[in-house]
Amino acid sequence: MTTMTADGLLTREDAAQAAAETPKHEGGAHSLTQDAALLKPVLETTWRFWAMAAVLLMIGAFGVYAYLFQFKYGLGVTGLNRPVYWGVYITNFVFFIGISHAGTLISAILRIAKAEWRRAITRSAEVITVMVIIFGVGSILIDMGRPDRLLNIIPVIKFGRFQSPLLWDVCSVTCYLFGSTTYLFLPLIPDIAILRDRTTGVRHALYRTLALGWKGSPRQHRILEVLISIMAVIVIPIAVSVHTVVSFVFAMTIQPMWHTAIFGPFFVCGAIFSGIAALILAMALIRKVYHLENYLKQIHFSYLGLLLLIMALLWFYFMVCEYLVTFYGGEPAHMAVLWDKIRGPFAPAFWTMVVCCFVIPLTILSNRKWRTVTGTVMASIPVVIGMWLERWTIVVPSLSNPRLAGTHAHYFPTWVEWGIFAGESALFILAYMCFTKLFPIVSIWEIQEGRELAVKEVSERVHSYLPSDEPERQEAAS
Amino acid sequence: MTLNRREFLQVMESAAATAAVGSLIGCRTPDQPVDPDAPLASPPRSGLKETWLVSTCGACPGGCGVRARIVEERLVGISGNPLHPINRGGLCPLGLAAAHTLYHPDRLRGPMRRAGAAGSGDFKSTTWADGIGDVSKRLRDLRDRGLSHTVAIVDGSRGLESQLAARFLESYGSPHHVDGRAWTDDRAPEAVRALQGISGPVSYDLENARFILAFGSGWLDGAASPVGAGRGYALARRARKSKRVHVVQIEPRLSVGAAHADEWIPIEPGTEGVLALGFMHLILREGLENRDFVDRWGTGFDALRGIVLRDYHPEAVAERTGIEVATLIRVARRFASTRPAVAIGDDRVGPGAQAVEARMAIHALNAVVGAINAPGGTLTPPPVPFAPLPATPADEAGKRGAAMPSLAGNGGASGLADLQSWIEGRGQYPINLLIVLGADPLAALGGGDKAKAALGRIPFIVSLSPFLDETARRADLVLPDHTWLERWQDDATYTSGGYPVLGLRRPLLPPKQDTRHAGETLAEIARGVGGATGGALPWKDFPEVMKLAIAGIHQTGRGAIFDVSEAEPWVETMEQSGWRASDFGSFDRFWSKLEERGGWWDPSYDFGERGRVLRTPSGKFEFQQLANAYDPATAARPSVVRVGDGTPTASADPEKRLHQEYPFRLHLYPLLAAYGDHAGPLPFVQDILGKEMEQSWRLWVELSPTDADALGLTDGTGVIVQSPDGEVEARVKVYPGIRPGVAAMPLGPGGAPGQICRRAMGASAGSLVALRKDPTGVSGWGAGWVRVRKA
Amino acid sequence: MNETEHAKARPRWGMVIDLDRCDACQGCTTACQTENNIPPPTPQSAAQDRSIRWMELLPNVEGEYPRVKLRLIPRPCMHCDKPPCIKVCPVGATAIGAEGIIAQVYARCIGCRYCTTACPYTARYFNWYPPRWPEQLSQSLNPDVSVRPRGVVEKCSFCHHRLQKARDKAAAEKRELRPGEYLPACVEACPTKAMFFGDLDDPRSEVAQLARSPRSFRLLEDLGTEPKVFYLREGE
Repeated sequence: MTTMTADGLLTREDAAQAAAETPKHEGGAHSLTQDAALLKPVLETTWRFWAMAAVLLMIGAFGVYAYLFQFKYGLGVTGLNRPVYWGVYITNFVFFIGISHAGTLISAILRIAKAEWRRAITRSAEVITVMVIIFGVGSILIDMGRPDRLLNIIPVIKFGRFQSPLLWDVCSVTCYLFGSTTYLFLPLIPDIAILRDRTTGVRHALYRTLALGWKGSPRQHRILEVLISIMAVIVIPIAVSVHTVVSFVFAMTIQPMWHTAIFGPFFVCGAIFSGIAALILAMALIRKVYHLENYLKQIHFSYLGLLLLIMALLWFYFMVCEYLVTFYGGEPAHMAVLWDKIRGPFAPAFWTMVVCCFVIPLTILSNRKWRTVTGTVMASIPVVIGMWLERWTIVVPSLSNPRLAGTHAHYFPTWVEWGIFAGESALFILAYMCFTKLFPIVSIWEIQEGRELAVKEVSERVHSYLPSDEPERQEAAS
Repeated sequence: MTLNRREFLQVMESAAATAAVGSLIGCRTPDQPVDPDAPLASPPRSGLKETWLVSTCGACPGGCGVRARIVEERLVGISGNPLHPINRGGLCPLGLAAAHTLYHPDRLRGPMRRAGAAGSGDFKSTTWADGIGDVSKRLRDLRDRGLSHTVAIVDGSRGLESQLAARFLESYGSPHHVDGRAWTDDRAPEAVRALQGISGPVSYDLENARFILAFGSGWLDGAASPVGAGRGYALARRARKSKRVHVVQIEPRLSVGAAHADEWIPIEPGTEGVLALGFMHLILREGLENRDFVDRWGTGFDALRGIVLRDYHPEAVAERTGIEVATLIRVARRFASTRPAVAIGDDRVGPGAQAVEARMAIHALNAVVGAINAPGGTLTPPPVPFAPLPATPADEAGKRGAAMPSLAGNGGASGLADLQSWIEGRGQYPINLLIVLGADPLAALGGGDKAKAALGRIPFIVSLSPFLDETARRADLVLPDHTWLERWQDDATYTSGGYPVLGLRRPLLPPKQDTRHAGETLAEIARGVGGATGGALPWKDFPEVMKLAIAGIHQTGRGAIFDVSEAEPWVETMEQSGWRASDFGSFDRFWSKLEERGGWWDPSYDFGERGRVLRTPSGKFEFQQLANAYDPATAARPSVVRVGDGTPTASADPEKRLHQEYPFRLHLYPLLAAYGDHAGPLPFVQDILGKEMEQSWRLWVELSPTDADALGLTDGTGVIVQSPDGEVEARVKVYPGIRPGVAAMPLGPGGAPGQICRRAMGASAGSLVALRKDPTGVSGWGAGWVRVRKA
Repeated sequence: MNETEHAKARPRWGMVIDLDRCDACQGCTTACQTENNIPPPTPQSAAQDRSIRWMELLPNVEGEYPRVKLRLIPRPCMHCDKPPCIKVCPVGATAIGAEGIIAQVYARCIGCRYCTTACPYTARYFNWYPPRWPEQLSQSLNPDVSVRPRGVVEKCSFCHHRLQKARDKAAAEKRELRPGEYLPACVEACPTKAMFFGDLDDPRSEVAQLARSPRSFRLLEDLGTEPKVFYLREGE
């Protein structure tokens, strides 16, 4: 750690020096020719975008209609019942919050670890977080029987109680939303400044406001980098807490197969797992649509694919732990849920999940030759589907098998629930698309910084890892 | 959590904001507690006028006392009358939900004439004058043509209203007063009548029994008074010093009653009579019978003994009934050696009823162990001492008509089955006009196509039902009665301990719809008919009749107005010294006390009155009748060939043929609070029917897991249950508590389309069994064979 | 006033259900539904498992033919001393009173249905639609109990309004509440008198004595929820 910090300090000093020598970040038009491809999506929009946006908007509008329908007639329009009081909405909540782990957490870890290959992917990852978390929170609101009483959950002024794990969620997710928004915004500032200098009219005004007077001075750079580093550190525990607390919503009850300590790490693992898969898909789309093959390279997909493979193994490990422990315990209430998943009505969902989350990604990703763009995308699609099914098989089977109910309920979502789910997904993609039209989806300044400074810095860093020619200097450094 | 005053008010404020729904439906704004311990500043709920009235439940024949809570002229609650000796404050779902009867959306608004085809439910409203005038005219015409005997009344009422119907028919000139009830609640079952000769009811002294041998689930799940039976059961279980009662339930299905029994013995359906004789065989062989009763009070016992000892060896019985010999021996010994013990059969009539012979064999078990008219055995409650109504005026035409033979071939009282078989061709002449009073004969007959066709052959049907029940749908004229909550009625019944009880039913609120008391409607029709009939029902209203009759009770000075239950031990002491409560005061005071407390009872039972209990011509218990029924020599007569009865007759062959086509034995069982429901389809009651089987609002058929597997059926599969007589749609319930080879279905009235609060079950399982009649004119219900296939 | 001293003098309401007397007639269910203004169930609500029955008969079939056991257990809210529902409510819409009754504050409930999923007895119900009474049926509503709006959770309240009424009456007559003066509707209606209600902390009360009977047990006792509803099993 010490070495790394030392490296970092060294880097910034070097950077300042370099900046003083060649004032490249003054916001001039020069030297951007090389990265013009990154600005192109922001400045030019094809009919394809509008066509896609229209389609998504229609799906989104249907989702809104479905919600308004539910708002008017009550939650009765869902397929929910007693005892399956929670269904698609809560599944979506966990799923979306899980996906949100793609961004901030991965980006922050890569930043702290100084993984240089991050530069092209952090932005697209962080945007996923901020966008999807809104839909995660939205799912909870959609699930409420009395959305008009939303403010009741605010502590102090209303009736919010910290004893409830739901309040922990409220706090944690709120922090996460603000933290990751800040964390997205900070590295955006230099790019906004670039856009400010290249636009006119309303857009110019918007960028001018958002750029916060960025001039790219060494001092500004220093402050920005300090802030980014701080946020990167802060956002990791928040992200971990978010999905832990989400798992606590279930684990803090005494319901069969919910009341387990493994849920915290398992949920975090699953969240990162689904997050990476979502990121790979997003990147592949961006790469294809905006022709950024030169930025989002095979190597990025290969690395993310490797990460996905690791998460798949980890996820499987957790799952085996959970199910084996339950199975050996043999408690009737738990076993009822277990059998329902393994060979009962939830078996199709469960085994699809196992295939999607483990068999397919393991097969594809463990083969180095297949860790290509296509390969990782082929692995990621089932992972996203499988992880939704995982949330489903956590929420619904336990509720379908209460200890005492007197009914054997069957829950199947109605068109309202599917409609809202489709609408949420469509609006998320639309929001993501809109972002790419407002801001560069690959960080321009970080690419430039990488090109201009990191190569040298990494090479120096690598040298610093190696045995030195001058033993005295090495001792002094340590 | 504690709330301070400010928070409390805040919460109340938001409660008021969400109270729109409450005010919409005419309810006061929410005053639900926010915090259980929040102090209440001022007494709430002031200013509402609240009254409590006592009446007698009319939802079923059980005769429970109810208390009605009336707030601002609205009936807001029904609970049990704690003073009433039948229920002592408890009440079953039918009674508890009865406020919905009063405000039921499907109640008839007033008199109606049929406009469309029979059964279409298409009616147009008419006036009372028109309706009553029409019936009177038709009756007059028939009488003038000498066809007064072609008029019948199906009567589900009892007591004075039933007497009015009888007077009406007598003066008018028809012998066809048909019992329309699903229960033998105030008369002895046919079998008991044959053995004991009594016409009044039989009660089972559950409270004092130490061993209950129950054949079929009717004694608890489907008792005429479910609350009375439940209370007796509970008292026998726990509420006394002596040992807890031991219950053995014999039934093909693990019913609610069987679930509460100490032992459930699954039996091959329809072989209950064989089993009873098998038990008798063991009792006789081991010399455990009550010699005193058999010798002194029985006749024909030796004949019976001969048959039983010859034909009912345990091995043979075990084979027929599917019960192990060891079980037979164990139960027989325990039954015969436990004192007191009682054997109870199923006293329902209609589809699924026990065969008369089997019922006789079961009742004879009581005689063999001396449990007839004994504490903890069967009792014969004395009647309520009503004053007799004055003699019915009669003219020549009336006398001629009334002297015609009744529908029942054997000359006894006629039932619905007799009516059906009469119309189906046994009768010498058609029935031209039918008045339906307090009954739904079509539902009671199972609602099958045959019953519908039979009813359809009557040219003119008048129903007095307050709801458009199955019969009313097919009626030509509906003159709706009040619901039981709006009317006067006497409800004479008895406790399980054999005490006569008179419950007073009185209007709790003025009628909600343009309805009239059925008794008064009948009186008005009579006046319209004129002649002797015109003078038969001279009273201005029903309470006048009631006062006339109840004055008889006042005059005897017997018994007591309902009082707190603490009086019971004192009553017992008084009873032993020939107690008479002498001072009722004036009749007016007696009447007002009756209104205030809900009724009168006579808590005394004289075990010495043999003459009252054994009213056969011989004055003895007729073992001979049972011997005749089971004697292979005489039983070869067709009269005892009943499909599924299992008696040793030649019926085996048709059974075999049936069995090939219809592999399942149908077992129809009563649902507590479902059968004979006079209260309209109450949503709360419909919702709990079948809860014990995890079913709701639909008809189901129970199959054993092995049978269901063999047919590839699982829980909830839609199937069609088919019998030679009909078919119904149902859902499968796989139930391990059922004998393999048996398909069990609940009995409940079928639903009518177009009702707002419709009945739970679309079709009635009763339509699967049709009435079987034989050349001698005796009718019985087949046990039924069915097949089950996927819908 | 010292809160703890005050609390000690207060009763701890509890219920005992004797399964040896119960004949599963479900009178308790209906008594509760009419007393507490439960909207009339419909075939649709039943088919969707949405009927509200604060007091519900739970069937349980065990074993194989012919050794089958059918147990029928009436289940109200257990009014647990350690209620899992209260812990999870984010807005304090459900709370345990000093006398042990778990109350539901309809005006506060946000309808998240966390308590319904947390209750191991599934004794909590949700208003999926606004309550409806066909035509005149609303005339029979009990004026003592509020009608719940749609979107909130509800459950057995031990007929708390009856306690309030009984207290008011006792206060007006300047006396203490008498034992048996406050009974929930289900207990009052039970035809077989299988249900008992009273102060579990009063050693002289019938419920306290029955709750200590060797036949006594509680549902899901091992979960540590400390229910205040006791059952007496069948048999001697």
